[in-house]
This record gives sequence, structure tokens and C-alpha cells, in this order.
Amino acid sequence: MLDTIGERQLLDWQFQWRRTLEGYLRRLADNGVTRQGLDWPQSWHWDWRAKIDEVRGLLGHTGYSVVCRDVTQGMMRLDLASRMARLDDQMGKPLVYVDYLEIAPWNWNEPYADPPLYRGIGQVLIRTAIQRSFDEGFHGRVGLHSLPQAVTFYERCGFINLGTNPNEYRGLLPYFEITTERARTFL
Amino acid sequence: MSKKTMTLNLTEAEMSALEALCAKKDLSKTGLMRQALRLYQMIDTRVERGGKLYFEDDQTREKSEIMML
Repeated sequence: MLDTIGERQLLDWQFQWRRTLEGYLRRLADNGVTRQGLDWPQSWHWDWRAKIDEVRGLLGHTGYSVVCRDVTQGMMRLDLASRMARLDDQMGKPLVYVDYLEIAPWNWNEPYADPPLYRGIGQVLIRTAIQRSFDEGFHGRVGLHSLPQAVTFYERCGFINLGTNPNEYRGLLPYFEITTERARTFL
Repeated sequence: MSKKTMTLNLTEAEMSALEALCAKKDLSKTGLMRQALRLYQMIDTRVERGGKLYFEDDQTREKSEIMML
């Protein structure tokens, strides 16, 4: 685990992740899956270089990456400053907000993908976000908006689904939050 | 990560506000000052890039701009 998303990770994304993603999208198209289809990856358009450039030098943002065999397997961008908890018993208290979390396309466990090369990368990143929350004195509180395809994953991690809000992300992304107790259980 | 220590001189009112916020946000004084610095830097950077800072009333959707001079 690296406590940064450096140039090496961005090059892995740019040249290795995107090449694999392109092959996967072609396979989906060959199987009649369209961009509007449920199986189309909802993070396919994410530009990690832009996401990192956007917050470069800001103390309130940080990034983590998982590297195995010298290749980046997953990345996560965190917001440590501008979001507050929404669950009733922790309302208004600071938390670690997961801006973006993605694993390399060859680790996806999806219907038209090859079997994942590595499993558990997402859990490793969520564990890191929770641990950072404890380290910051936020008592394990973590929040995030989930892509619809990732809802089951966050529920399995112990996050509570607070539903969608029409004023956030066009009402498409449900908000999830984890409590101190659930965070301890997850760790 | 190595950390530096500093002494902060605050008025009684400022210290009271700091302690009240620490209690409300469930943070230590160091944690609260760290959050304040992160937010201040974020806002300053966004405003320097040409952004504006607003509060929006959830009911009326009325916006009031915070002037950062």
C-alpha cells in the first residue's frame, strides 16, 4: 500500500488500465451490451490524472494506491476536510470521504471479464480509509457516494445506505456511511 | 510523517470557541486546527482559481456569497 498516487500509478492507469478497459468494452459491445446497459462499467470515463491534478497540493485531499508485482492494482482519493457525517448519531462530525475508488480492470469480477487477477483490492482500500479515519481522530467514520454497480460491495463492507438526494449527483448515486462500531468490526 | 509543534496564543473568547468546536466536532485541539487549516487552504485555492463560495438555503435555494477578500 502506498500513501500516494504518484506519476508511476498514473502511467499504469494511462497505459495498462485503459488498454485492458478498451478490450473489455469491445467485448461488451460484441456481446450486445450498450453504454446504457447495466453491465457497462460506470467508471469507464474516469480520468485519474485529472482527478489528482485537481487536488494537487491541497492538505485536505490525499490518495492511496495498492501495488502488486510492480503494477498498480487499485487507487483511492480521499477528502479529509470538507464533508461531515450525516447519520443521526454522528451528524455534523468530521469523517473521511472517499471521493473515488477504483480497482484495475483485470481485477474486476464482472460477467464478461476474465477471472480477477487479484481479489480483495477494494476491501484493502476501504480498510485503509477507515484506518486513516481513526488516525485522524475521526473515530472510523467514513462516507462516500457509490456508483450503482458498487452498492452491494459497500453494503457488504458494513456501510449504511442513506439513499439518494436529488440535489447530489443528479440523484443517481446513493450516499453511504459507516459508524465507529461498524468500522471496528470491519477492521 | 514528522510533525512540528507550535504555541498558539489565543484570547479567552477564541479559546472558548475552539473548545466548544472541539466538543461539538469530537476532535482534539490539534485535530480541529488541522481541519481548519485544510479548509482554509482549500477555500483560498478555489477562490484564487476564480471560484466563489456560497451558502445555499436548503428550502428556498437562496444563495448568499461569502466574500473572501
